[in-house]
Amino acid sequence: MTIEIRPLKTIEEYRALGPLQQEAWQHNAADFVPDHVLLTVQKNGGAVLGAFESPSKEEGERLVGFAFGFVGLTHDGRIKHCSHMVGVLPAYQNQNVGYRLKLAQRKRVLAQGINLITWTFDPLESRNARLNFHKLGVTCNTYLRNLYGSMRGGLNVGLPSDRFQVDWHISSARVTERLRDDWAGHSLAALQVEGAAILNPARPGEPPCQAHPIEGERLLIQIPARFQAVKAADMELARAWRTHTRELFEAAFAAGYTAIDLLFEKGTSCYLLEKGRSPRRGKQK
Amino acid sequence: MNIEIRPLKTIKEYQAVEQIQRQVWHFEDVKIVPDHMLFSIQKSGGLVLGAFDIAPGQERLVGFLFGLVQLTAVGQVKHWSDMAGVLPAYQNQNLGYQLKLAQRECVLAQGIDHIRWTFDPLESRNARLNFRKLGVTCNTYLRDVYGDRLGELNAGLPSDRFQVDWRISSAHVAERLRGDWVGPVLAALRAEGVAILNPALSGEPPRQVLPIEGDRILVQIPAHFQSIKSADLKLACDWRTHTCELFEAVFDAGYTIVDLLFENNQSYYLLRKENQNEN
Repeated sequence: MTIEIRPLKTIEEYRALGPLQQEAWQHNAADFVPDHVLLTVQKNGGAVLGAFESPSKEEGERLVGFAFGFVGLTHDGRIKHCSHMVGVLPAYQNQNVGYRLKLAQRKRVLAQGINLITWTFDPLESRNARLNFHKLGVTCNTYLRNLYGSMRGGLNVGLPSDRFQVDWHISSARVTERLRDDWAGHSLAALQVEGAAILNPARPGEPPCQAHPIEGERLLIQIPARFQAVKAADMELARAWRTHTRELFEAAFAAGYTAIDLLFEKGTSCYLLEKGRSPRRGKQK
Repeated sequence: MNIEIRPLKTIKEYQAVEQIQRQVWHFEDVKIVPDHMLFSIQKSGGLVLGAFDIAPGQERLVGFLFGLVQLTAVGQVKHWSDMAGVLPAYQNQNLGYQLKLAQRECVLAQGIDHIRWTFDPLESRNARLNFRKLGVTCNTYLRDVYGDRLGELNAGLPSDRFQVDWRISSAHVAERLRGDWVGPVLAALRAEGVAILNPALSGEPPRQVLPIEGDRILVQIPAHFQSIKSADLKLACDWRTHTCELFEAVFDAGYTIVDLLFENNQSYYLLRKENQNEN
């Protein structure tokens, strides 16, 4: 299988994004970002990148994923790129397509002289967190409560839509290091030996609770390894996780910690937070 | 009627913008700019403004506009105004103008002094609002920007557009926004020797146009293009072709549109020869 990442070009390619959004997010038509806006964004400094599969020369290309973002301003008026959506068809997930789309996005945005890409995602989605923090090198110290209120989107039903707003400083040493093939990363076991405690060690199926105070240079905060499964099996437990982690993350960020990694070992997912290493960028709404 | 203009705040308000798009443009669902996109734009340096009809105990969204930060190929930061719409029952009541004024204030407050958007050069009413009342200028003609297939209101007609420049901190704009500004009148311009390049003959574009010369020129467009479109699509297409060639020629020759005159049920663009483009 060959997958090529490149900007969308033709009206037909923009049109193909509708069905793709439907499959990737179970969106209704009313939730699609429409082709005319995508076109406008592409023309005005934003980026609409597609992942195209070419099964064979005869069959032609098929759009299987896309990344879409637009130009924005930070609260202190600096130019940034706001990554609004990244989606990959279910059949093409777990094949690194999302990662490659993000790399292409970075390259394109760097070429415009922009050094910051931001986006939001659900902090309890461990797989996304792993991609964002571990592989791409984002950091986060901004927790947004119930960002969208009640939206219609299929994946977001029934739970407050809390989000991390992550900062991807795409020309930073941190990001360059993460993108190198030989970066080893932190190990949960080693961190614990060095004295970093899991604040909220949790047993499967049981409601989470905080066991240690927020202190020290590094913290570990556990999240469910498969939150979608928790949501499907026990909505009360899912809500308990939301409330619990909301309090922990808000308290840790307020105390000057920044989330810098997501570790996944032996079926356990933990965020790694560090005190004061990356400067706070001013308080956000 | 008590109208308030302000940025949208709640998800319900963003969803009301979806409804307005359905009512103003009769968009199908896949054409509608969805709540989550509008919300992200507002949070990220863009702008989503609403016009609310305020009555005791309730307020109703009756118009909106939205735009986002634009970074040009040469790295200039501008504001790209993407859509503005007002419910049919509230049109012709100055709401579009008020929305634009509020947009100007918000964008100026960000330290950005240039707003751009596109509109159909043959829509005389919009042209009058944009050029006469707001003070935009234009020297950019874009052919068929939506590939003739995205705009529902333009079925059958190439979606040609003016890209207009609203330099919101300029003296030109400040003058237009003053209540006491009096624009040029056709008779005076004609007396000064300003020629109409393409006087229409019984509502049709002329076969011949005058030479493009002089400090100022006038270009006629249909005063009611919507009714031509619904009555005679062939004639509408003739006007599109005729004005496309003419505007491209005058822009190439260094002219910039600075006004739209509407007199005796006729519409004319006023163009001025610029010594240099100040893009």
